[in-house]
Amino acid sequence: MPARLTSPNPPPPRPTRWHATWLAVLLVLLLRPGWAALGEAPAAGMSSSRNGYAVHETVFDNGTRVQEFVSPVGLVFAVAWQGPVLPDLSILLGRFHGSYRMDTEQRRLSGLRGGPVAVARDGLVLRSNGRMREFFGHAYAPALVPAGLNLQDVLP
Amino acid sequence: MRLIFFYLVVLLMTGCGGGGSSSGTAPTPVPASPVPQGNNAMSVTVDAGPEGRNVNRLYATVTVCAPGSTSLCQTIDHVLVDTGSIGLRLLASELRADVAQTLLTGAQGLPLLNCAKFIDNTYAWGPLASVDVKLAGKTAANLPIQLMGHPAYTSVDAACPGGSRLDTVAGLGGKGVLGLGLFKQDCGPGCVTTANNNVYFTCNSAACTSVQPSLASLDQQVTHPIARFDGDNNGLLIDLPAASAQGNTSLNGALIFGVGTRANNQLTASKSLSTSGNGYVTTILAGQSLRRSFIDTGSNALFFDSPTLPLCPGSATIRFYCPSTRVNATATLAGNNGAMQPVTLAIDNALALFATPSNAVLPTLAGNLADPTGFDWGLPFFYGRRVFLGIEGEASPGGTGPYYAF
Repeated sequence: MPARLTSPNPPPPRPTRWHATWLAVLLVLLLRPGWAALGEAPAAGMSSSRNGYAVHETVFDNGTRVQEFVSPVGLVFAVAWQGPVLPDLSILLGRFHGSYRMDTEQRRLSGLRGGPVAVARDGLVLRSNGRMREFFGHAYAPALVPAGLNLQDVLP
Repeated sequence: MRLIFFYLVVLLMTGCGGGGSSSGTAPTPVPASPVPQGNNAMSVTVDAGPEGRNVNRLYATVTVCAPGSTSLCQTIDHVLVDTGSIGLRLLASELRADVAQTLLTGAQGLPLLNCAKFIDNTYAWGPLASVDVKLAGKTAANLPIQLMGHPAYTSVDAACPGGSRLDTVAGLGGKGVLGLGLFKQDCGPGCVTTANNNVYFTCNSAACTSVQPSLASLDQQVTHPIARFDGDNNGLLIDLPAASAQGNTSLNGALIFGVGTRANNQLTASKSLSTSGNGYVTTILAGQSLRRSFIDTGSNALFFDSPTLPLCPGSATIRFYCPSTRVNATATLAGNNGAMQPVTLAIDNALALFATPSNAVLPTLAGNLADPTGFDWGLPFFYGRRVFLGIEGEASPGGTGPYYAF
């Protein structure tokens, strides 16, 4: 369909200082991770309640989806991820990230490299798998899982 | 990319015998190999790698030239052939600066950088260079590749959060990675439209003391070399001879470009298994449907979860299986198109296999995947098979990619 030549587009608005300020604020809000860490309170945002827990979900610009599973006492007891780019696990695992890092480093030093990761130590259970353009995994803190909840029913 | 291998396992094994057990069986002669014929065919090798400590790793020799140059060229051996990743990534330490002098740029004309995260908490970080990649008689001109661990950019690698940076031959087990997977780019359309893609970045200044997220057009992304060939670009064939069950020291096979484009790459597979959009097929094993299954030269064993196979003792080898006697099994691979193909597998005791340290070809090596929904058919799957991969969106006698055919 040809463009209408009789009605030119209005000139674009000129950016002002006011615009720039709000743009900066917006940018900070957008860049702030909308997700919390394992063992912490969940980030504000979209949550859905399920039987005995809540799910807080974030879909990143790159298409990777992160789910945080929140117990009735308000702590993230499990996280799961799936998508084309591996999320920043240092944020997602919070205080448990050190155990993950130590475990993967020890595997590397003992000669195992490049494979999927299964960690069970220091109160952390983690599985991380996938390939370029498709990663998936989950982690949970057994001590924080609500009593009576079967994780197999919870995790994707 | 999926890279699974062991280093010190052999050393630990030989160092902790203690019980007076004799060393393993003598190395078995190398099996006969197909000799690649045609300018779309090249030799590939399974051997112990540049530092002599790898098993089941497939290597190619790659020639790269500065764009358009016939003199500024370099031939690099022991580049890992990886059907689990996309594009060529060479360690900056192994590539001459004059060959990789043409850096790709993003906004403001400043260098474009790439973050490739791998599943084992490692990552490759570095700038993109444009080079002419020559494989057999074919050329992928002006191909974007990643310079892994380029020292001028390592200080800004915080943009690529991961555990260990892959920046040495010893760390990688090769001098680079030749990613020949099912897709054309390492990111795809998402990085064309989304700046916050966590894969592409650009420097904020000429000194590159900081970086910002960047879009990357399909032409700028780290790209499958075969997809950029003139002809013979719809897929590939990996043709490896069978190996002795007890292992071989090395093995030579062929990597052939194109599917059904020439006499040497006619589709001989009985079944073509289309994959999901993510590159998965389904494995049916012991009544279980493992829907996240894939076939990957970059994995150095068959990896799956077994309720019956015992894991090896010892922290260094615990990921591998150690049955007391050989275990045979039959699985069926099923494509998204409903095509099904049975596969037999044999699994030997990994520690017994490692007892002959000179054997770098171990067709019965298997290990734990840590994912009850998948099966990672690593390099042992390829021994004694002609395995075709169809590149996404490209038509061939095996159908339109992505698919596996064997």
